[in-house]
Amino acid sequence: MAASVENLGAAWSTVTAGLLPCRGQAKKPPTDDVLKSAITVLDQHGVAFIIEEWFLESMQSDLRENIGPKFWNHFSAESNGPKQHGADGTLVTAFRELHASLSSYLPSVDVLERLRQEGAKQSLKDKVLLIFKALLFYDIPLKFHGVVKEFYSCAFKACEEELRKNEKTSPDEAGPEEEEEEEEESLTCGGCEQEKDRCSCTETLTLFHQLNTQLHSLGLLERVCGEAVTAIIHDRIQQHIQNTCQGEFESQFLHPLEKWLTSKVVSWLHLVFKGSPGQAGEREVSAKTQESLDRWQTRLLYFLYQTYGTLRISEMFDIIVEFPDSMSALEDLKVCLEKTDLRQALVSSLRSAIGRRLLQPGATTSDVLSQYILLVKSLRVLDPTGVLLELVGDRIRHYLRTRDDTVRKIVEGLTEDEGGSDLADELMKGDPITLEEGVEEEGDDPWAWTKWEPDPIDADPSKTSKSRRSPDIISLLISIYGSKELFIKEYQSVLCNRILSFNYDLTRELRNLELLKLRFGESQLGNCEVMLKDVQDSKRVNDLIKSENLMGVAVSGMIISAQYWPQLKETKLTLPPSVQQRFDSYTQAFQTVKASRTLNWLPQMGLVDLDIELKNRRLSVMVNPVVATIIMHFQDKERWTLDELSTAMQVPSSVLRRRITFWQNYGLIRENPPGTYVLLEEGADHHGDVMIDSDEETESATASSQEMREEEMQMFWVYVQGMLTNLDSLPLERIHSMLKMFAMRDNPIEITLQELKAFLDSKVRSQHLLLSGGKYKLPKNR
Amino acid sequence: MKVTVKSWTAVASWRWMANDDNCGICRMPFDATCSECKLPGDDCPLVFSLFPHALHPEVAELPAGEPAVPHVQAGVEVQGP
Repeated sequence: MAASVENLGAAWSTVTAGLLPCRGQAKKPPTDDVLKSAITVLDQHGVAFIIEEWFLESMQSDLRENIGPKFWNHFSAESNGPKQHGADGTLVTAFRELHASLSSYLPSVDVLERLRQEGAKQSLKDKVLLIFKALLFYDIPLKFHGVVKEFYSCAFKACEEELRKNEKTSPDEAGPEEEEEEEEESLTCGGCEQEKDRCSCTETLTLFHQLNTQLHSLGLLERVCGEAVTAIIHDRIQQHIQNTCQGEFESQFLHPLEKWLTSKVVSWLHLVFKGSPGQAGEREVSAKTQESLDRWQTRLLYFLYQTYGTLRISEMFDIIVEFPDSMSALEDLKVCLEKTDLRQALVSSLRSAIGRRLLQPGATTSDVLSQYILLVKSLRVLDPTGVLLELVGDRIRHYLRTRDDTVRKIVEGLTEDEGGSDLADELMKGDPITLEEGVEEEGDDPWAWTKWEPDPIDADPSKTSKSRRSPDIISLLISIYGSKELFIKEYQSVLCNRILSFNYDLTRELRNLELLKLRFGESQLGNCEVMLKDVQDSKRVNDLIKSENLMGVAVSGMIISAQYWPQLKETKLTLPPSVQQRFDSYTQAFQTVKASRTLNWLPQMGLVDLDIELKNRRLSVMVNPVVATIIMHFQDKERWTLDELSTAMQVPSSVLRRRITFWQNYGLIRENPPGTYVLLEEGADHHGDVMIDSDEETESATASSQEMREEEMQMFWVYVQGMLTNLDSLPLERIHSMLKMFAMRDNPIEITLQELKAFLDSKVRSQHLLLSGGKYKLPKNR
Repeated sequence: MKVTVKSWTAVASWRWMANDDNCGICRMPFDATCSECKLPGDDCPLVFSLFPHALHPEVAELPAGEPAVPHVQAGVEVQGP
């Protein structure tokens, strides 16, 4: 018995001595055979199973007590010492030591593995590696990450530099001359930012490969460097995208970027995990690592899309401004949006960019409109369903509704010179949809449903997807106000202004009218048709009157059918008798041509072509009748006071004063003393032959809509006064309903409750009304 | 100083020289059209002979054989001279 115990004891000590790494001792480990026989002895006594447990236990305590603290000591100690470069710093030393101490366990693990019974669940090596990881890295000091990251970024730079060098030299087998040239380019190495002759890149790379190999053999590679590598690569991707793509909208970047990612970044990743190809450091990669590498690559690709998408989203406003040229950027962004979840970011960032940069008092309405049109066009590229547009465009639409001149600008845009505006081009596009029809049917394709796609998740469920798909920008603009009557009214007034300022091209106006008819329907534009017909008829009448030589003067008329034109401003003007005479004879001639019809002249409107001969110069100008009349009066008398002139012409002196400045600008008339105007026969000829001064405001011929509204309100006021005289006091609602009953019945004019309230309140403020207890009444003393 | 008017383009509105503003039958202004015309003026001339009042043409076209004035008179009060 004692012998067997002795045997056992001897065998145990052999095993323990053989398995535990013999640090610092020059003892040769026992050979396999010796170990094997010792283990067999243990096995015979039925205690072999404890070998493994004992081994792991002693390894763990060693890790905890010696190896671990020693390893981490490197990093805590460094905090006091000077900051060193990662490449030759603590990291390598620390890991070299760690590797040395840990790998000393590995041969024993192999031995044990070989001795193990078949059918063990988990390979011992995996278990050991797991213990390494668990015991060493359960608590990592913050500093560690920094050191690792620094080391890897140095290595990455060095590696990139090397790749660049290879690229440069490989294609044309660069000779020594070229290398010299390169050195002249920059004295520092791109990799380690040191002078070329002191470049430590190669050194760094060697260390780098060494470290990777060590970590790999311990199974610690991903654990230690994964985070750092990801961070470095992300930084690099961001930097690369910033450098190459920012502000460049005219070419597509996604493919080059993907290529860059696979060629440069992923190859580096492989370098970390697989070792440098074709060198001693190359390692076989287990299926698991390969899998995680693949996953990594996919993640990086996603990150690439995301970064690129974010960049483009932040530049979206500029992309829209440059729209047709920035098509490539939009297509890229479209791909990014499909692959990532940036839609929401796009919507919110674009909305705020628009608010910040566009919806400002400083931006003119036409700018806002043209930006809106570009927005529509570019968002259609991104999202043909129109949901994005709905989400983003809403803000502009709301804003446009608050601007007074939106309708006018849209109408002007629609009828502008060709090539000048997007809207005119849009109007020219064939196949317009009349607004009543809305979007046309999808056709009779019985298989249409197979192409159905659900609306994006952020779509407003209360609207049909068809309504969004309407591809027509004009309909979109018109729907800002929800009614087309407003537009037609505005078009009419724009057309009227254009005709009456004699600044139109009849063929173009006719074409515009036809195009608008296609869109708004014939009946709506009847008035405008009459207006253009008046223009044509006037020409005919003028020709007729001239050809029959019914009058020898150069008056030509623009004869309008007043019922069909917007209300024109009625201002008085007494023409010089010579001109008035011509007008009268024109009227007579007209009465001869058109039986039982006569003319009412609107003398303040028109265009006069004048030749003025002075002592030392000659002027030829096209002016407004008021201005012409002024100068004709000076023909008879050289000195006029403002009042005299005002009486002679029947024009208020304020208007006259403004108009007379036209001649003052020409140096023909001088005000001296104030209120008296004198003709200057011999002025300095600093103007010569000039056409109408472009600065002169072209006054709108039509009564402005505000003035018209005031007139309407005046009518309501008469009713309200009547009501209150009879019924003493009335609440707002009652007044409104009574107005509805009496005033609005045979009047097309409407007044809403809010408008009425505002109107009555303004009357209260001007003390024409009293408001007490929610009831309006007339002041007593009236 | 001598001012020569080379041309004077002026604006005027035309109107019918009739004894009223509105058509006696359709009550539309003469200077507009009757209910069936689209373009005023030459295309919708007034009818003067039928009635003390001038009329728009379409409303004045009466079925043959009917006494012209009494028929239209039914709903319309004749005013004026």
